[in-house]
Amino acid sequence: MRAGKESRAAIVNFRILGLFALILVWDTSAQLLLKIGLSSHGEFPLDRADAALSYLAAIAVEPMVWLGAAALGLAFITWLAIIARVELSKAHPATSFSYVTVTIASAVFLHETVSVMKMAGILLIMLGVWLVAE
Amino acid sequence: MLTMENIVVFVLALVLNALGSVLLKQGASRRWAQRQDRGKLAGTLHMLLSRRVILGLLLQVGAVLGWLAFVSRTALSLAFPLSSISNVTILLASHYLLREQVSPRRWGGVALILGGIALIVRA
Repeated sequence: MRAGKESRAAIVNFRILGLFALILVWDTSAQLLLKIGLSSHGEFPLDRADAALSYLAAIAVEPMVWLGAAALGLAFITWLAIIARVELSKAHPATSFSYVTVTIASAVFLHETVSVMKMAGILLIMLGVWLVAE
Repeated sequence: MLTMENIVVFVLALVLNALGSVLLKQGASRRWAQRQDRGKLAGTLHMLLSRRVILGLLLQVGAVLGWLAFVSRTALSLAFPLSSISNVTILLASHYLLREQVSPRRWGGVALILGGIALIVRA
């Protein structure tokens, strides 16, 4: 009986780890898709109101932006599934792994340069978020 | 690139986000305290109709627009790690505007996040 209980606990932990992996995938995809969608219309103009409005109108019908929003929606549903099983103060810091995954994804898919110093900064941030969340 | 314009837009988004969060918290808490026997659904709708909640939502929309502008004008590998500073701004707003208690451990976290951001900005 004891062995059965232990393996059930292991399965539960496995499922929670799977949910964390899933939310990182949704979150990272969302940021990438939003960035790609926005950048395909150039930079948001800050100098003229009419140009800003037409930029907003263009991204409101941009498929990549909608896909990004859908990925955010899936991340939200996954988040609910996680916090239903894990204490919030423990679940929240784990999502700060997305600072690493989004940065790596930016290097791989958007060909942005990522230095060692930047990665060191991100590690400090992750540690900080973990402390701030209590 | 972190030009002056981009920094202004980013800071504006952070301020709108922090103030919006404070207004949502105040509006929701006050209405929740007055909910009496309204029931779950009516109590929640009552919360949505609070002036502070509505204003808070408007500020959050402004913050999202500012964030979109910032992301469209900078590299994602810069913008996204920088967004972690909202952990700091929300904590400061909660402490100074809502008088919430903040433990030394959490102030230490604030220092680490700011240190990490300093590294990323220089990288």
